Amino acid sequence: MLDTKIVVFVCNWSYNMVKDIEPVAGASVIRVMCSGRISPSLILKAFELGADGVIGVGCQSGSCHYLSGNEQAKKNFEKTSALLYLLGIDPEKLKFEQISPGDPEKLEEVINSFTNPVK
Amino acid sequence: MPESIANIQKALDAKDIYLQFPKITPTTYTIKKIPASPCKVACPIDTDVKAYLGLISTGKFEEALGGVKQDNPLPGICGRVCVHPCEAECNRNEIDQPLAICSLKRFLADYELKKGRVRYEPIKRTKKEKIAIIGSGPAGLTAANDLVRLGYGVTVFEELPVAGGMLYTGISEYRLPRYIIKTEIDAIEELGVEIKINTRISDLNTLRKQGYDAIFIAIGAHKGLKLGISGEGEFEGFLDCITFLRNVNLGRDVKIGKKVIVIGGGNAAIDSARTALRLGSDVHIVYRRSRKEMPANEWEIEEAEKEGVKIHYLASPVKILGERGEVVAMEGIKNKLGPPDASGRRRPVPIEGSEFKIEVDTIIPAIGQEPDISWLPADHGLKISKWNSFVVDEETLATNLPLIFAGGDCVTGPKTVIEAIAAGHKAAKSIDRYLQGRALTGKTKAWQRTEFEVVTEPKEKKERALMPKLPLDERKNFEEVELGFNEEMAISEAKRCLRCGFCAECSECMEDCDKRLVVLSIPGDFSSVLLRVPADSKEFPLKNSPIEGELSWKNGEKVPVIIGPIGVTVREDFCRGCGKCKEICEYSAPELYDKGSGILVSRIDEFSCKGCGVCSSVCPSGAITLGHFTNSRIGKLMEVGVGFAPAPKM
Repeated sequence: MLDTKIVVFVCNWSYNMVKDIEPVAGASVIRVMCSGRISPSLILKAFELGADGVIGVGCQSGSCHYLSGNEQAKKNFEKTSALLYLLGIDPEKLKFEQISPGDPEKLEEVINSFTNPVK
Repeated sequence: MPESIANIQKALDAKDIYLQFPKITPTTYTIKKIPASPCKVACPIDTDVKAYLGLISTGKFEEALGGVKQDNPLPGICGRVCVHPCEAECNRNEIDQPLAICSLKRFLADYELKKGRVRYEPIKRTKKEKIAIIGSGPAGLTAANDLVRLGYGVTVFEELPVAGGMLYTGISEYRLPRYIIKTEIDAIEELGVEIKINTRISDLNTLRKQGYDAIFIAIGAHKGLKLGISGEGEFEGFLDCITFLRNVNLGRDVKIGKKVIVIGGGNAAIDSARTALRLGSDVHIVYRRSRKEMPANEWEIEEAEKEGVKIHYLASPVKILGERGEVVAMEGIKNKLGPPDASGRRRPVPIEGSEFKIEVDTIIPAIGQEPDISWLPADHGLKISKWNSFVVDEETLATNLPLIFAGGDCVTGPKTVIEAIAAGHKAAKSIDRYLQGRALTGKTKAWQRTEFEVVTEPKEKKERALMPKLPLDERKNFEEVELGFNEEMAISEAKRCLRCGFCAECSECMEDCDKRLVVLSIPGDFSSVLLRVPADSKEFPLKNSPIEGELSWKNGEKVPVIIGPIGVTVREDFCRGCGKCKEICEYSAPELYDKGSGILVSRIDEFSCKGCGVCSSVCPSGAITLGHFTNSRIGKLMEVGVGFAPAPKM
């Protein structure tokens, strides 16, 4: 098995569901206060450190604790995606998912489906 | 059911607070709200009317009073003499009558007096600047109250032996008892304002030399206008209404005859007439237009008529006749109404051949006032309009000279108490901006009238509570005529409020909410926990000052912990004042302010900040760092995650 390293940014308000899922090998979950806080520089830093993929998990639209943080995150990820293309990194390695905190299965599914194509 | 849950249930029943998406976590409640209700828009000082009506209706008088005092330092005075433009705009007008907003405010002020007022603690002076305020009327007192609360040294100069300006000398005791004025001025004095009575200012330069950094002129309009007819001022028994009211109110000796004529139709005229009536005279008011055009308040005219003042409409004075130095008669002429003039009221046109003559002992003209600026030296250099008022910038109240501001009646001409209070607030704001070196004009919140539908249909008709009044036959002295509401009346009247725009903005929910967050972390460890701090906790760590402490586990082991603020820090040397953080923040926590010489810097209010860090991600110069989850910390976590660094020891 290849040693893949995935960085998953999860917002503070969705973090509880991380405890409900089976730990996925090679995926390290990093809690941030809000998905909107994940700036392009943080994402690039992850790739720089050798991450194989980055996932951002934010709340569903309309339910952000900070009202519009997830919309900001969406924009940030789109921007960075374009940047990755310029840098020669496959933009598919970056993903932003909006998952309801009551739906841990979805998170597991996303992480698993994400690790497979990277492998 | 615990009380807090019962409260939430009650709030849910009210349908102003509800769950927007019931099944999601985190649960977010929505508060239905429309920016400003008609009463708030109508008020010159944006009083949160709905808030205190809502609180009165639930019997929370204490909280309601606190809310009123935030906007208005003179609630007892305003509750009696305010012209209440709010009531004219009230949506209840469409069903039956407007709410008695003014009287309810008075009820709150009375409630405080009845319960026994607590002496205020003096405000600690934090700023070295001193401010001189000339005039202790409503404008001057409000500005003094605001400025002393901001930490300035404030001195108010008053020429007369009593403070209060027109409130004391212009409004009669039966409408506004003297002890009310005294209590409210005392309250302002207790905060640390120095009021120097019997002090006439004759030169602004002297004040500057005495070390005052800014001057606010709020001298009011105390000079009666001339009638411009022959015989005026030549005989004894001709008394200007301002002098007349001032002498009566100061307890000086006033001589008026058996038969008194008051000329004019404003509130000053009605006040003079009712005062003369109480001194035992037969009083007639002569007004040149009809009742519809009379500028005095409708309810004042009614009371005057009830008490026995005879009002003659459509008549103008022509000549004053005297014998042996005393007024004996007045010649007048009848008018009819012609086309409207510049003020929109119909112009009186004299009818030829309708001259009449009435015998009279005393004539009191009350046709308007202008500021008395004779105290200023000839070379004062201030811009003065043709009505003898000060010319100022409407937004900032700054005169053409630096350091000097002016507001209230001495700028606008005779207006209302509430407008003077508005001017006082405005002046205090400008003076603060001026002394702090900020731009005088800035973004000020102006309430927009929002059109929305008020559900008037299912509301039952309910008559407005009638103000209990002193019986007519007991009104021979200067006792207060209006007696005020009792508690049941106040509650039932406040319940009539339609609560236009749903949420009453009473901020009571904020009191219970423990939205304040801190982060608890163990030094050297990457894990951390978010904690909520109760709103009344004094142990709330502020910016850059985390609290260090110890946690003891069950087995007796002690672990050092750091309780840090969740808020963000701005590095001022990095910040370029682009305003991106202000744009993105949902809680309006960042505010741009002038660091000096036009350099803008962002500053973040630590109480509004919720620590999400969205501003940190948009900041182009990297000046913003979160008190928690800093970039370097996330970087470390990533290094551990990708195997770049060893995992920390658990």
